[in-house]
Amino acid sequence: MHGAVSWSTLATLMKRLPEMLQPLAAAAIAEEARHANAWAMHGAACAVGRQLPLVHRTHKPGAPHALSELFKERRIAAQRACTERERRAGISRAAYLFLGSAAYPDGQVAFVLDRAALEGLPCSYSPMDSGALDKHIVPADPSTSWDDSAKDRCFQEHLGHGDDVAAFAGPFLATHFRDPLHYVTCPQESQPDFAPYHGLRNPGDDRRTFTIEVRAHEDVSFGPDENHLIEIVVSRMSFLEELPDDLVGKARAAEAENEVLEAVARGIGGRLGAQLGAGAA
Amino acid sequence: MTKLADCQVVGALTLPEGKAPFDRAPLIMSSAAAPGRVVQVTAYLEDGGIAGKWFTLEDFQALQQSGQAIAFRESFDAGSSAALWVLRPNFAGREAALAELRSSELMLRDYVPLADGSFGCLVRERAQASDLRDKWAKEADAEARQNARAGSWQRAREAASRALALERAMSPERIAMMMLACQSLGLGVRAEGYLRMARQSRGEDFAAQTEVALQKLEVSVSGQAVVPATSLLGPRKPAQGARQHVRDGLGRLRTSSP
Repeated sequence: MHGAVSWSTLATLMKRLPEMLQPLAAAAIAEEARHANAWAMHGAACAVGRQLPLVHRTHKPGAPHALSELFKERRIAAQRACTERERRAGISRAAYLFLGSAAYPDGQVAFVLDRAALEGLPCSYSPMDSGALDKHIVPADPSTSWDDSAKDRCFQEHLGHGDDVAAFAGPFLATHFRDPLHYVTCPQESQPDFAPYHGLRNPGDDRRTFTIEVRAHEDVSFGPDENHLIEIVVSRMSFLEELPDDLVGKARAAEAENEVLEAVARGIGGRLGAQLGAGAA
Repeated sequence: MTKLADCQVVGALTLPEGKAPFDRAPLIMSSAAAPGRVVQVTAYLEDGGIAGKWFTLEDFQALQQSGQAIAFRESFDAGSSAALWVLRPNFAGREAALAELRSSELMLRDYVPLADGSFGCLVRERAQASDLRDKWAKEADAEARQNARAGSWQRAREAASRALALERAMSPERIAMMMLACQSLGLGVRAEGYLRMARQSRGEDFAAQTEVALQKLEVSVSGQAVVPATSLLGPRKPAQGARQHVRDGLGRLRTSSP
């Protein structure tokens, strides 16, 4: 049993890796240039995918937790799932994170966590922002039905088992980007090099359409001695005063005020470059 | 395009209660042309428009609930280049600062009292405003150094915190002052944290410059011979070879110190 999660429902719905990769492979085969790219980039994309951290941006509709409490408790609380759709899939609680990007556009502070923070926790993932299915994401083909049951079906068809997210990320990146690192660095309003395989789009080109969302269904701890916490990215210098003494050294201040997404990308990109460079050497 | 003339200021992206003495926050505006949504202004355009990030009222409320934004009790007419300058109750000399702001005619209206007792000032951020903010930062830094020389470390820290928050770009000297004050108050972890933060935020060269600034400051504050400032510190922005330049400077600093 996993707390308040209707684990049996969710466990039944979550797809394992081979099933999640099937439509990705089908999309690649259907398009010659995409297929060639996926083939050529597979190794590099998998290397990037394995190293991508998780990013939580502090803002969630209805969240009762203030920033100061988060600093004190040092855990990201899994709260009531944002949408009815998730609840119908058996998700009662979730802490929302994006893989490799601060794609959620609001929130003045972002926490960058090692994926080890999720070890032992019940988790799921989707290759898009699940909450955005309600508001911001529509089918690329306007003739496709997009009522509530179609959205439910879409969510469940793209609901992966959290343990597989890193293994999914590599092929996902290879199928969408000519340079896998572009997934990390592309801005809020952007498109991948190849259209999202799930056939959805955002009219404003919001990157949440193709950024992998990871949901932890229990609280996510920063870990003993905060060893899962890689960085706290703050939108401006005045936020440093809010940090407890031992967390100041984890901070990164955005170069331009309020450019949290860009500062997170710079940090992840820099570390990935160093890690992959060292690996290659 | 969203016209500024159609907008009203309804809030700002600042903490309702903040520990830093000063904050500069982007404004949140509503527009008659976009009911049910608000915009966080990111740029004022020359043609009278604004650019920004739109969100729903529900999202704006969530930002307030999570302590990251404030809503004003009433809305105000918007003005070009405006941002909210928050002078917290722990901003030493804030009445004088407010008087300067008032006489500068940079304020869109008189200050808005915020829930924690802060002065919320809607300021037109023209060159004159930047000059004023830089002047306050410089004064705060001078005050921090003066208190440090007098051994008043708590006051030095408060002034250093003010200088750090007022500074428009991260500066090695301001971080060094904060580090020295924290170190002297027995807050070694925090002091080291600032250096790590500097390295993570701006790179190795910047961190090296901060270390140099700290050493210079230690010499200066302890009343020993101050090393001439002309050659030791490299440019603030990391440049090619700056790290070696700083290392050379460090070496000279060590050999020239008594």
